[in-house]
Amino acid sequence: MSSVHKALKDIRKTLILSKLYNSFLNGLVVFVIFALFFIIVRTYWWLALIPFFIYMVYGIYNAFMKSRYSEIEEKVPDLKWQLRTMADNAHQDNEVVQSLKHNVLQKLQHVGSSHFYDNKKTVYKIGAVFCASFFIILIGILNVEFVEFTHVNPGGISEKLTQLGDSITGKIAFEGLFDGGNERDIYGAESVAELGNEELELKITQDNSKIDISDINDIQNPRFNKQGQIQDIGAAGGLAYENEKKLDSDEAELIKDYFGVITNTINTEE
Amino acid sequence: MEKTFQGMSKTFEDIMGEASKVVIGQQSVLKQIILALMCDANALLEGYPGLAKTLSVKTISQLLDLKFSRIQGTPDLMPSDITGTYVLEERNGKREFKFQQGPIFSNIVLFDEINRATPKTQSALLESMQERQVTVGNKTFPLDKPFFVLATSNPIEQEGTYPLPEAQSDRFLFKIKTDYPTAQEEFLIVTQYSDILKDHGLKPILSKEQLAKLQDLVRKVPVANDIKKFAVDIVLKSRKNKELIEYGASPRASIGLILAAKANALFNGRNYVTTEDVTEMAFPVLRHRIILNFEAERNNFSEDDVIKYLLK
Repeated sequence: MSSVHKALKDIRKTLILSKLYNSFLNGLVVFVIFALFFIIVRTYWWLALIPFFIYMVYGIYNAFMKSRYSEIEEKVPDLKWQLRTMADNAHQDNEVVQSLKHNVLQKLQHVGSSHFYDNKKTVYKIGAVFCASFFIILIGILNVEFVEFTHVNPGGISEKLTQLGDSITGKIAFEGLFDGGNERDIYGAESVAELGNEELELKITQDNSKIDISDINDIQNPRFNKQGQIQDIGAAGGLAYENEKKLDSDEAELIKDYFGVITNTINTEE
Repeated sequence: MEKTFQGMSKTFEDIMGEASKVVIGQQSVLKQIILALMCDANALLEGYPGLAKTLSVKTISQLLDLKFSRIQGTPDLMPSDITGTYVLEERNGKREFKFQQGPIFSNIVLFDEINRATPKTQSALLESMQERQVTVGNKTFPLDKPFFVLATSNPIEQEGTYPLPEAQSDRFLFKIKTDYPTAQEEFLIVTQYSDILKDHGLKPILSKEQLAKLQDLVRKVPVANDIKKFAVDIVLKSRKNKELIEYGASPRASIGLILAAKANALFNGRNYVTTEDVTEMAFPVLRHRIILNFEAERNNFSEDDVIKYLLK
């Protein structure tokens, strides 16, 4: 690979990396701002991941597919039109093209990563992330509740977002990961019930009834009752609760000998 | 190599500086004549009488050490008056035909008031421009290199003239417009040319060989694809814009625009072309290649106004 091609490849790589870095930083800003918004409207905070991922996909596509030498020239005005001209004419070999290649390669030696990263903008973006994160933490710690948002949200956006979150959690079934959304279903409305400090332990055992849905046959000689309903069709169910409490040995002995004692008593009376 | 381009720029500065001793003002006219020479192409020069058109061409020919000839366009001018003709010559008692070269056998040919010559004569000149050779009878004579035709025309006094057909004017790379000098320039002109005429002692700055090398270099200047697209877009716009333009420019205009932009870049000591080069060259390259429609004429728009609109 010639020095020209290598230089072009290197500079393009630097541009792509800088664009990916900027995309991630912008995505982070988008994420915390949306997360803050969703917390304010009292819905799932993790819905902010959607705009974040959309932004990141766009950023990655933009970085890899739309990186042009003209963008480098914008960042390094000294190379204006020269880099593009050299890239488009790299295959040519005459004295004018050679001189252009020589000039551009010399100028590229003075081009560093600093040309591609805007420190001022980076500081602003990190500042925005910091501020939004601070508000999120503050809202979480102080349990701050803003004005009842349902009164001001147009078109019931809060409810729509919550429904969207519900449908996503329902579909993906992130058990344990997004607990916050199921709390209302388990505990009910906070204003109605209060658990206090007491712990409630619930154990639900498996139903002992078994149904083999593959074993399906037509009814042979159906019988009908007076109402004209088929008598053979019915449903029955039951629950079995496993009693793990072990009996005391005296009680167990008593139960074991219960019938023996009764039999002996009857025989003695006879 | 960088020094070579800087040195080249210095050479052009020297040419312009020397020419300015004789031709006061008209810097853009002088520059465009040099650019046309660098592109190995021909140019039309339009302007009112007395604006140093002939003087400019003559001065450039002196500075580039080129043979100069001038033809005055008149309705009775015949093609053979330009190309030359066979004359009967007696040598050692024998009479034989000998070809007498016309004024076209020169490096720089100034054809004054081309629109006064008949279409037949115009065609003979344009054929020579295109083929770079002259055919008289059954013999063909190649023209000298470099060969450059600069035809002038007068925008006033159109009576009894034969305007160049579009197909023929398309063969000229540039249409150079000469404007009146500024008050300050005119003061200097009066001061310089109303006193005793002095010899400016112009010395050639470039030789024929150097000019040929320069013409070769112009074609080697690399151009970015974005610049080519930019130039093509301008020409395409001239064809698509039916609001102001009746007939747009041909693909020859696109080629000419890029070639002129290359020459302009080299003139400015650069080994690459920018959009500014294309924009600057769009005016001389396109102004004789577009035909305005009635709407544009009704609004009193000139070709340059329309080109400015296309460049927006």
